[in-house]
Amino acid sequence: MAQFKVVSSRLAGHPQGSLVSETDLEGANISALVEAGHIASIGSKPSKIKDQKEQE
Amino acid sequence: MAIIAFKDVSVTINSVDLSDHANSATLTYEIEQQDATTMGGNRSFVGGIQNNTLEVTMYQDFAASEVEATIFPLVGTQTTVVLKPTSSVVGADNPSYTLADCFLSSHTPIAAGDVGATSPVTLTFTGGTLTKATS
Repeated sequence: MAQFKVVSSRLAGHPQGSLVSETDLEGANISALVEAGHIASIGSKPSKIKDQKEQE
Repeated sequence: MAIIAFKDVSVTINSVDLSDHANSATLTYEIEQQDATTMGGNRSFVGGIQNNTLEVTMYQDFAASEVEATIFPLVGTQTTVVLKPTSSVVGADNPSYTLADCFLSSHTPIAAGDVGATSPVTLTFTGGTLTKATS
């Protein structure tokens, strides 16, 4: 599930800097929120295998 | 319970709180009446489908993440709008009205009137499903 970082101070119930998922934004037009600069996609979470390789 | 004068209506459009730019909001909840009159009876109606309208007026603001940035991408799409009589927590005396999947067909980004005047933007959301919550 896609996650987003809240980048504006106007998103109801979600403070700036917090993370939200599509579920948190149910009913909202997510692409419009991105275009308006309220949220930004943070991509997918890195896998554990990738994390381990980076540590090596 | 007291008579209320609207001074602090909460307006959230597409999860974005624009209350501090809004100065008017009118929500009309309608169930279409369908004729169910039968021979020998008087005119009779039954409830059909919801046909809701929400009109919001707010002052235009072109700054980042403000009115224009929020509204422009919504034209021609469905979204959710939430209204509350006040910005306080939802309760029996402060119900929330959620109009989900309502459609915004038009927007007037620049509505310049008289020189020096503010620029109000009136948005009309139509359709959708209205629900009321008191908790």
